[in-house]
Amino acid sequence: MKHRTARFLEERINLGPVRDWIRRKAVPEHKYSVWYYFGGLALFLIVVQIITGILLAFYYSPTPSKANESVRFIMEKVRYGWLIRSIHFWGANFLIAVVLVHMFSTYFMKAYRKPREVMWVLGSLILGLLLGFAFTGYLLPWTTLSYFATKIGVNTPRVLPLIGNYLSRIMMGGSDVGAATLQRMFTLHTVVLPLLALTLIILHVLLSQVFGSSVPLSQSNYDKQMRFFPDYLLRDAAVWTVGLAILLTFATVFPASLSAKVNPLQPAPAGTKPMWYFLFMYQSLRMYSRTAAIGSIALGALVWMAVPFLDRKSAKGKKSTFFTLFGLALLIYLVSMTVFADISMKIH
Amino acid sequence: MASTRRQFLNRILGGGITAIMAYIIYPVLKFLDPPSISSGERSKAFVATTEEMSLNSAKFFRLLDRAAVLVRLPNGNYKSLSAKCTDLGCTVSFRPAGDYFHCNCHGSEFSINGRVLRGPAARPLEEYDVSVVGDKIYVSAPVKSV
Ligand code: HEM
Ligand code: FES
Repeated sequence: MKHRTARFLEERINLGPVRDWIRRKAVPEHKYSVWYYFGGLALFLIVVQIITGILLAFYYSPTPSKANESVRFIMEKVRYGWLIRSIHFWGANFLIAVVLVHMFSTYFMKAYRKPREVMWVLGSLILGLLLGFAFTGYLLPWTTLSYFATKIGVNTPRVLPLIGNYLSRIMMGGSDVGAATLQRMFTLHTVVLPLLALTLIILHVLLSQVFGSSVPLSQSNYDKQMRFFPDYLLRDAAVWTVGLAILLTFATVFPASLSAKVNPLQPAPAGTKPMWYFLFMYQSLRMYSRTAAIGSIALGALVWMAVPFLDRKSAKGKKSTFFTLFGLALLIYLVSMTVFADISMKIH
Repeated sequence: MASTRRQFLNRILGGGITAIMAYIIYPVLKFLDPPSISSGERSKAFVATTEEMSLNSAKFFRLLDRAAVLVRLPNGNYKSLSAKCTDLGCTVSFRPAGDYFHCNCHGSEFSINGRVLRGPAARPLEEYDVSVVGDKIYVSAPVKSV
């Protein structure tokens, strides 16, 4: 009782290997298996961002005279516009949170070890691109907060030697944040970043299929497996459904707000701060000299990407306590700086 | 011998590809760098009338596509400065009580003459010329590339 489509395809191409591969594909089951769901959830949320982003682009207009107005039009006039924008807004926050959980869980399971080094590097680059999405998307509603936060963001790299001024200029498209900046951020957000991110995500997911899920060293005596199709895929789908339900709840109960359009001639308001995922940078920039903060964050990101090549013990299948502690230290630093920034802002 | 010949050819090929990449990337990097508009924009702007400006008040306006401020001092004189903080570019606010400018972004402070009173800003605010013709106040800045 083969389906007609399946028969049509089968008469033309040999689907045997694909079917064999699907039948054989299995996911290891052990104490930490739940963490495997976060990668799939991230993939799902990316699809949500792409769909809602494309919908917003049908009405959004990236010019200073129309940007804020067009977002207000989406919120107040377009049917379900508030919902689409709220999902895009909350989806961005959820996506970054889920990707962070995914990254730290694979880190502590040492899933980056041979042969999956390249997957780790790709994953780190994808997180960088997601932060790029968030940064470029933030300016688009053209509000006072988004204007001055972007201004601080694009001017900060100027302290870097040699490339600092160039970097800042090409982000602004001029000597100040204005129409050219809005156009550049929009182009980056809707053309450049999606193309780059999609390429890296496809590679990352393809490799995950070639290698299959890794098993943490501490669980290497496991013997249980779950068939991917249909058992695991159904569980994945259940997680997506729950994720979507939570996302829709947030989007309807706490819809994204739109504050007033910026007037660049008005003094910057007190308390200009970035979104939560940039707070650790914001706090580091406040506590240390700017050059030192930017330099060490850039260096830290490079070391983080290179971990699979630095951790020789895990590569040989041995326990590497040092890298577990290194990951913990980083996690503690990020969390405490974020909390600290949040508290110190409330006091001010 | 064969392998050195192969190495030689590989090196030429590699060098050639690198050169071609540079050929492509260089103009792209230059393209992205916005040309500096040596502004044909008027450097002189009508800002306010004398009635508008009470003692110890400030008016923000645009000059050379940047935020600027006109202040009427307690002694009746006028003063005009760039309102763009020299730290990271936020628009500063005028503190009439203390006769100074405060930047809300990182707390820099500038005197009424634009001098830095408190960091992180390191450079002073640029000062502009004010001229009063009848009851109209004009501010002018030297034209330079923006
Ligand atoms: C993959 C991940 C993406 C992330 C993390 C992301 C993030 C964001 C953020 C944080 C905002 C500002 C939200 C707000 O204040 O309303 C935004 C706005 C926007 N995004 Fe995205 N975005 C993504 C993908 C896309 C794609 C693929 C498109 C279109 C092709 C798109 C189109 C837009 C538009 C038009 C806006 C402005 C509307 C608005 O501000 O509500 N986005 N995005
Ligand atoms: S931008 Fe004014 S103090 Fe930083």
